[in-house]
Amino acid sequence: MVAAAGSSGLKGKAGRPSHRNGARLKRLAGQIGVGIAFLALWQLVYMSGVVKPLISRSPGQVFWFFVQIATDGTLLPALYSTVEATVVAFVLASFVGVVIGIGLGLFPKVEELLDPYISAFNAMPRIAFAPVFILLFGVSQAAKIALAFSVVVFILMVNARAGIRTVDRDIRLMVTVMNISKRDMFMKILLPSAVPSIFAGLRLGIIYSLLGVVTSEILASRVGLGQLIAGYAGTFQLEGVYAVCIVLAVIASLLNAGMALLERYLLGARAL
Amino acid sequence: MAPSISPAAGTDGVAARISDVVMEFQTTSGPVRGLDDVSLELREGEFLVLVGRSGSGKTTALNVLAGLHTATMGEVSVLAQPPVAARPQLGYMFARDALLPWRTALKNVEFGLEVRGFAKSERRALARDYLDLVGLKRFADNYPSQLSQGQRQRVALARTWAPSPKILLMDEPFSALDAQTRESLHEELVRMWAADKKSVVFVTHDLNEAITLSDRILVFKDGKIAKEFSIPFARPRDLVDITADRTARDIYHEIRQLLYQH
Repeated sequence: MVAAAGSSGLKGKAGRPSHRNGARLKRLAGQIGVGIAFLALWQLVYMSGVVKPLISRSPGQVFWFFVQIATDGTLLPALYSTVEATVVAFVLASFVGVVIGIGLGLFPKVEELLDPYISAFNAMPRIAFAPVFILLFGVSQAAKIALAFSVVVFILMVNARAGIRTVDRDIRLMVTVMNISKRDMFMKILLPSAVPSIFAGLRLGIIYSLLGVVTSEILASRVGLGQLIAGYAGTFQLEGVYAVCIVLAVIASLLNAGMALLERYLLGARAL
Repeated sequence: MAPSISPAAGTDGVAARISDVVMEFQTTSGPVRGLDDVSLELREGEFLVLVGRSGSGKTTALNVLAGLHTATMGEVSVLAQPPVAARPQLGYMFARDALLPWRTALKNVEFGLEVRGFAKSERRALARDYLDLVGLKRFADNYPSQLSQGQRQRVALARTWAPSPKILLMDEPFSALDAQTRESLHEELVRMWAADKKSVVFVTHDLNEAITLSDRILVFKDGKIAKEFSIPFARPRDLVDITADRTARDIYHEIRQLLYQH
């Protein structure tokens, strides 16, 4: 009986990839279809004139504006600056957040003391700190990184802490009876248990890092996508605002997909 | 019925002993006695089954032996030591498999060996042997999420068994399985037990399971041991033969009556 169940399982697995590829193609086609439908709707709304001419632009206008800034050397330096700040802030905040989060998860007594302050700090609107960071670091990459860091570090802290805490009750009992050492408990049980939750935090964190950087750039910066948005908005070039926003959306999707790939590569078939 | 207790008896044929143990739990409606003056002995190489309705104290007795609960009163010794000190010699298997989802079947079996300090090559080989023993050789590299419930429980059995503990504590390990899978796991368990002659304490509420597996059955009721039964049948036993046997049926009905009367 077991053998039968096993062989059918294996067959299922062997048969799956091609089937899965077919399903993936279908899904991709569907997703592209939705995108085209959205563009068509956008065009219709633009032509109908229900939206104020001040802010309404056609997909074509936005596209040509994009082509212009992509070719005249405006877009790339800004893109590079924004992505660089995003990645630096994300890596720093993830490292610090995960370390602190694990520490809080391991030492509930310390967490008890700090928790009200962490929650309170996390509830503060970080955008209010942007001017402070700009005064502190000048109009620089560091100011953007600081703002993004202040947002992302909490996400990772909360997720790492939750991951450490949510070890399955049965697994806890099992390792208790095994007289597991503290070191093994941490390395072989707590840390691997926390990995899915930490990854959920990383996927959120990379997006919030981008948002933090762009926010800082909109407030004050020399170069960056946020700075472009602020500039175009100030001169009523709404096609520029929209073009940069779409660029940002694409970057966010790519970063998200990259994190998903990394997660799949690191977690493999663990399939939680 | 109460076994004679010779204090400081070493391990003269006794693997574990609970003497006059009272186990009280604090609940919102006041203290509850999980175990109410219970004494029992697990003999070396014995297959002891504890039956009873839920809340009767059978799992509590198991947890006292594993050192997960500290007895409010009375004495507990496992291999002539306090339970916690005896843990390296204990294996505990639960109703839920408690497999580590981030490890393959093979690495799950290795886990018990790993934390006990077996060398890598030795534990790999041992884990393969035990996985083979429970019929899962081909599934060594599968993750728990890729295994059926019965296969997962087999991995848990191999993991519990691989470090070769002297005493096995099993808390309804097969209760979540279908009848056919349970029967085939019974066979494997008894085969492994007969080969290694370990001492087993097996908790269940399934009377057929109790009679098929055990040398001796202790019936728990309201935190006390209500009655002890010796199960005389030769091994290997067949569930069909056992359920048709007159003596077995009498034992079955007597236990059933004990459990249902108030």
